Parts: sequence; structure tokens; C-alpha cells
Amino acid sequence: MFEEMRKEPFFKEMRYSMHLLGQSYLSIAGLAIILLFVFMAVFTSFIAPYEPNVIDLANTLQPPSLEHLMGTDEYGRDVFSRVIYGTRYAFLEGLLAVSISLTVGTTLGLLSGYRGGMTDEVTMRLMDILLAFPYLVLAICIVSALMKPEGGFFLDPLMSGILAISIVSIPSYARLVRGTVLSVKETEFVEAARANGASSLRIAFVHILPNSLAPIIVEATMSLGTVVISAAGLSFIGLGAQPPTPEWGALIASGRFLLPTYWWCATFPGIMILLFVMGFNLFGDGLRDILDPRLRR
Amino acid sequence: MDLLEVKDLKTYFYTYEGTVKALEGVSFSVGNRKTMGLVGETGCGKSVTALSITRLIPDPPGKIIAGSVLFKKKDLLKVSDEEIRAIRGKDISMIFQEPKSALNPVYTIGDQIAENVLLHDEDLKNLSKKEKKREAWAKSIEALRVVGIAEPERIARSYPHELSGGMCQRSMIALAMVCNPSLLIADEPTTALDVTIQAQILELMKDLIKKFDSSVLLITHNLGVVAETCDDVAVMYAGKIIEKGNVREVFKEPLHPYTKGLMEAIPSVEKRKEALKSIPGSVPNLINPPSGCRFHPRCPYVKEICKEKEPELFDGRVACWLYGGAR
Amino acid sequence: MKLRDYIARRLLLLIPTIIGVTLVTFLLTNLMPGNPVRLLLGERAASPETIAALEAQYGLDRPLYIRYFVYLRNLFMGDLGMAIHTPFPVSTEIMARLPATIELGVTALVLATIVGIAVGIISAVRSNRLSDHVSRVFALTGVSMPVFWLGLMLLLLFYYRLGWLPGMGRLSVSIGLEHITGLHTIDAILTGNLTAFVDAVKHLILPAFCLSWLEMAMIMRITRSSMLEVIRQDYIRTARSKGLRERVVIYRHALRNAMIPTITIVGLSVGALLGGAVLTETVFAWPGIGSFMVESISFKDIPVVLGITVVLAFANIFSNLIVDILYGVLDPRVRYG
Repeated sequence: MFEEMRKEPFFKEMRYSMHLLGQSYLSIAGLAIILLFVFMAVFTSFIAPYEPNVIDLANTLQPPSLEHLMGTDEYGRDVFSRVIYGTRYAFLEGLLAVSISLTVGTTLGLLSGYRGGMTDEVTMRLMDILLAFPYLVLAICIVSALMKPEGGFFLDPLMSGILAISIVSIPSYARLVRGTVLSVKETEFVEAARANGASSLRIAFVHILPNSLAPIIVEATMSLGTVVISAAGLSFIGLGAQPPTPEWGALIASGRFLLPTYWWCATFPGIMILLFVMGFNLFGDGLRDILDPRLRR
Repeated sequence: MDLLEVKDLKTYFYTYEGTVKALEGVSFSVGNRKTMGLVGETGCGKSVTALSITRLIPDPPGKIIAGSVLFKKKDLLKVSDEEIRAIRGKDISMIFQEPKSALNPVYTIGDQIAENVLLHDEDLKNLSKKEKKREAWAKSIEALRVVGIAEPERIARSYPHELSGGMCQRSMIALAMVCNPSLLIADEPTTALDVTIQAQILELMKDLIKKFDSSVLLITHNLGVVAETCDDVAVMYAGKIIEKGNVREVFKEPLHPYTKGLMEAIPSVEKRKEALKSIPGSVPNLINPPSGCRFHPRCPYVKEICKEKEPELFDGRVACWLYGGAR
Repeated sequence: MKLRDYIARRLLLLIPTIIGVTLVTFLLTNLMPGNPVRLLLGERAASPETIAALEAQYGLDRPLYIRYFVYLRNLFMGDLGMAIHTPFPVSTEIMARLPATIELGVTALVLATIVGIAVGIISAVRSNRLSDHVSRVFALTGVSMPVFWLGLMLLLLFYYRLGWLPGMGRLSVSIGLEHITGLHTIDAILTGNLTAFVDAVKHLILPAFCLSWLEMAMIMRITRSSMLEVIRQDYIRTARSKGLRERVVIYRHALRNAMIPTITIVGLSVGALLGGAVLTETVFAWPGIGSFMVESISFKDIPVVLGITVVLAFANIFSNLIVDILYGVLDPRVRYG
């Protein structure tokens, strides 16, 4: 019986996908990196040898050693522990920003592609306007508009940064989803659902969305990395997470002025960003190759 | 000596699932000014044969591993890259199944034909660059006129996406014939076209062959097309030639059970009352082809020997145990 | 449709985008919690009367749409308001720094495009060989690295440790250079000042390389993948069957088709490049509008931040327009779309 099941096209496809995934060492490496970071984010307090914000003025600016794997900063805080805690902020930024932009962007794209007409026209012009700004510049602009003139922010600065990045990431999802909806919309099973009297909303969410999932998943995976880079960029110029938050971008920003002598303060957080983003890029690349039937065989 | 003699050609593809033995010892020849039809179901190796002749098999995954292709007494599988390039497009030209995708979308039809002229035409040798271009363009327009295009100047300046499929195929034929090749390889030239256009294109090809004294290797799955246009025919099954001969002979008295099956599968008015026949089963997988005669799992006349030993081409006509050896 | 009509239509489509962009910056200035007067007053306390007087003075008591038209008119006359942390108009400040940004941005873009496309082609043509693997790792690192951290690492290595290249600014203090275009390398050539030219180029190397790595990586990836896609097409087989040399098949028949998606990425990457310029300029103390933007943020100088945003958005729109036109030139099919 199992023999027979193995011959089913679906299982054949699945097996082939697994084979491809297994053969692509790079995407496996990406997945491994991601899992490592998830592990670090969950078991932070077990892994980090020190509290991230405890000041130890007797041990400032120590170079990397067995005691402090990545050295200490100007307040004697353990860079390794701070970097490990930074993993949590990276996931917070990444997951929050991606889910906000994904939800809004997908909904807009779905409506736009399915309803067409004015809805489509207006939404897409709005997206064009957002895309007319350089990505990071618009994010900077939004966060600085949230600053109070007398100093400080109207919203928690970390959240302002995430919000800004979410807004500027919306158009790529909206465009992507609209495109796939347009191609799925005319297929026979959607025609069939329409003929059976399903409501537009139902067709859009129940029939069209699941069939446009593959590219959305790939885009989301890849952008989880880029979002973290942008958020770090905002913190670097003082517009995201603020010190002493052990967010990677903020760590690099404060380590910047300790170069060149105390190089470890800025170097290690950057390596973490590099690895984190690379993990998602590798895995996303592999996913795309597997989910895109055109690239198969 | 025939213009083209293909002997024991073997082409394999090395893929994830295993080695696809696409051609397993194919031999046939195309005589001077003759039209040879190569017939078979999809996936039997017809197109691979066409591409192997001019060494256009994509490598990897494909590789020609054995055999010879004698063209005007030269073995095309042994000549240098430079020589084969000089032959492609000049002595042997090809037309393909999907005319629209076979033409480059970013260049005009005229440019694409002129490119061929500039590359191969000896008459242009002593001209200046500018004259060459002008001359090549003029020849392209002439070629388009010859294939029966009414406004060749306008078509020459058009891009492939602006033209219909039939028009694109005419342009492809003009491109193929512009250097007056001695052999034209046409790989399913009419399959992607409407029925009425198909007839026009076939008619056109017949005219041109006569006019230019070319030989043709016509690859098709359509027996009707073969009956109408070819002098000789070879039937392919699973990477092998299983029957060949003069068209009249083969159509009058098909020998191989597979050929018979193909003939019976053609619908006709006389036989309307009977149920249309089909060959049971499907084309075998070429990674693990059946033992013995590759057709035996589908053959109604299967004998013990068919499962064990591969038949040769008896009398150069048919590869089947019904007609040779153990008979 | 002719190419000319296609370009005309592209130009027409710019109008709603420009209106939208200016509307966004206008609304950010006027509706956000810190309104302009509060911004102007900064940390000074003010009585309601002073605020009202200031609002009247700046026309802030008028209806929003009139204020938008005033804003738009001023914008097109080159008036972006007064800066807060410097005594000059925003436009004066921007104009003084624009050449530095142009010099850096254009150098990086040219570098990224040329190297990216060339390496992408080689990578595709020799796919799965060593050169392909090396360039893919290079590309992967490029898209995974924060540009400001890369800048810091380049500084650490080539400036602080090895001392090969200068790390800050555009020109050594000791070198005098006549100001003609504001682009130091060009000015040095125009005045025949070789020392200044070498010095300017040396200053340009690190920031330009830093800024271009990401774009280079993106362009390389898309060139490689679209090249691999194109090579499999039927018309490439046709080109080979004509007897063309492999080089000609690749460069004449494959490349032009593969460039169509690549051009799109080049266009999109200009936006990323402009954003990256803000960070790169900050790291290398490059005196352009990007580092000025960051400086203004720390002074909460919102008029300058928004002014620079408008300028960068226009630069982005303009480069996307060029890309669209190129697109029409390269691909006859889009002219009909």
C-alpha cells in the first residue's frame, strides 16, 4: 500500500522537493543558522554569561578573552551577552515589521487584484507614491516626524522604527500579491467557485490567497533579513532602539566611536547581523527554488 | 552516396532521475533532393536526433556518446567547432516547432535574417561594411518575398510579437532558406499552427525544396504530413528506428506492429463506423527501457524472443522478430 | 506605439507620483504631532500669543489645501524653508552639499552596474564553476551586510590598521582645489591638478566601494539568474543553429534579453543606494546631503530632513524614469503595453 502511495504524483513531488532541499546544502545551512538564532532568542538567559546591562566599571573595554568572549564595552558590560540579548530584538523587529507589512500589503494586494477597477487604480498609485521614496529615507522621515520637538519620541523609539519600516515595506507585498492574484483569478477552480455562487470575499481569501502563498512565503522569509538591516540602520543614526538597549544597530552605533582600539564593540554585533540576515537569505533562496516550478529540473 | 548518413547515433542525457538513453543507435540517411520523414510519438527522440546532427544538444545534461553523422562525406561529430559553425545555418539550417519563441523578441525579423546572410554569404565578402549591411537587408527582404509574404519591407521591420504564428513560421523558413542550404531540418514545423496555416506552410516548403534543390529531414508525429510531403520515412520508437523505407511502400504495407498501430489510429471517413483504434499503453521510460524489443509490452504479436533479444533492422526495412531471425 | 509616445506617456504618469510625494512630505510637516511652529520654537517655551503670531506669519492659520499649494509653489521655486540649526535656507544648505552626494552616488552606481553585470554574465556562462561560487558568495555577503557596518570595517582595516587609504571627508586639508562643478574629481581634471585628483580618488574609493557592494550584489544576482533563464530559450537555440559563435550568441542574443529584468533591478536599487548613501556618508564623514540629514535629525531640524527627503525622492523618481525609458529601448514589447 505504501508502495502505491509513493507513486502518487503528490508524494512524488513532495519527495522531489525534499530531495532538492536536501541537495541544496546552502539552504540547509540557512535553516541551521535560523534555528541557531531561534535557540539563542529562546534560551538567552541560559546562554548569556552576564546580565546585558550590568555596569562593571572595574572591567571596562577589556579585549576578547575566555572571561568575556567578545570583550567588554566602555561601561564594562559583556559584549557577548549583549549580542545574545540582541537576538531577541532582531526577532522582535523582524517578525513584527514583517507581519504588519505582510498583513496590510497582502490585504491591499488581494483587494486590488481581485476587485480591479478604481480600487486597483487607487491602491497601486498609493503604492507607487510610497515606492517613489528611497526605502530607508522614507523610514527616516517617518520616524523623525514622530520625534517630539523638545526631545524624545511620541512613540517608543524602537516601535517607531518598526512602524516606519513596516509602512515602507507594504508596497512590495501589495504588488507581489496583486500580481499572483491576477494570474490565479482566471484559473478554472476560481471560475468554478464563482459559478457555485461563492462570495467575492470568500473567493479572495479561501480560493485565491492559498494559491498565491508560495511567492509570499519566499518574500517574507527574505525580507525578515532586510528588515533587520534597515532597523539596525535606523538605530545606527539614533532613530530606532536607543542605548542602552542591546539592539545590534545601537551596539554598532555606540561601538563606532571606540574604533580602532576597541574594535570588538562594533565588530561582533555586525557579524551577528550578517549571519542572521544570511541565514534568512540562504533559506529564502532555497525555498524559492523549490517552490518555483519553473526552476525545477 | 547520400547527402546525410547518420549511423549508430547514441545520445544520452544525464539527469537527476538517471541516464536517459534518448537515442540508442539511430541510423538513417537522407538522399540528395529527397525529403525524409522522421515519425514517432512525443518523447521518442525525434528532436534529439535533429539537434544531434548539428551538435546542438545542450551539454550538460546531454551528450552524444557514439555514432557518426556523415554530411557530404564529412563526419560532423568529428569536425572542429569552427567547421560545424560554418555548416550550421549555411549548409544545414533548421526550423523549429514554436515559431514565436524561436525568434528573438528584441530584434526585427529583417535583422535576424540579415544576420544569417552577413555570417555566411560569400557574395558579400568584398563589400564595405555599409554595403554589406545594405546587401544583406536586401537579400532578407527577397527571402521574405520568396516565402510568400506580401509586404516583405514592412514585415522585415516588425518584431516577432507583432506577427501571427503562421507569419513567424514563414519568416523562420525565410531565415532558414536565405543561404540556400543543401539540407533543411524541420522539427515539427506545423504542429503549433492552425490547420489551414499548416497546409499553407507545407505547400510552401514543398515549393521551396523544389526551387532550391534542397534535401529535407522532416520531423513530425503526423503521418498525414509524411504521406503528403516525403519520399522516404523512418519510424522511431523509444530512441530507435523500428521501420524505414520508401513512403509508398511503408504506407501500403506497414510491417512493424507499431507502424500498423499508428496507421490505424488515423481517423478516416471510410472507417467511420468502426471504433477508432489506439495503441494500448504509453511510451516507455528511457531510463529503464524494456528488455529485448522496446515495443514488446505494447505489442499484440509479442513472442518469447521479443522479451529477450533486440531485433535488428531486417533487410534495412523493419526491426521486428515477426520478419526475421527466428521466423 | 512609437518610442516617443511611450516616453511621453511615462512623463505624464510622473505627475500623480510627484503630487503624491509632495503631499506626503507636506502632510508629514504639517500634520505630525510636532507642528512647524513648535519645531521652530524648539525647546524654547512660548506663550499662546507668540504661537498665534508665528502661525499667522507663516500662513499656518490658512486652510490646509491653500498651504499645500503654497508649499508646492515654493518647492518648484526652490524654496524649502529655513533651516533651524543653521542660519541659512534649506535649499542653500542642500545645494552646497549636493555635489558631494552626486559624486559618491554616481561613482557607486556606475561601479555596481558595470561590475555587477559583468560578473553576473560570467557567473551564468560558467555556472557551477569556481568563479561562479566565489561571485555568489560575494553577492550573498553583499545583500546580508548592513552598509554602515561594512563601512566601519573598511575603515578599521584600510584606514586605521593598514593606513592605505584616507577614511574621512573628500579631500585632504592641505590640498587646495578650485570649485567649479563641486565634483572634486572633475574639478581636479578641469584644472589639471593631478595631486588633487589622486587625493580625491583615494578619498572616494572606500565610501564608493562600501556603498556599491549591496547594489553590485543585487545586480549580479539578477543578471546571473535572468541570463540562465534566457540561455534556455528557443531563440538561443535558433541563434546557435545559424552558426553564430558562442560569444555572439551570448552577447548579441542572450544579453539584451537578460538585461530587461536587470535594468529593473538597477532602477529599484537606486532607491536602496540613496538610502545607503545616508548611512555611508555618515560613516565616512562624507560632507553630502546624507550626512547632513543625519546631523539635522540630531538637531531635530525637521525642515532640513524633509527637504532632503524631497530631493532624494525626486532623484529616485528621475532615475526610475530613465530606467523606464531604457526598458522601452531594450524591449520592443513594452512599448505596446
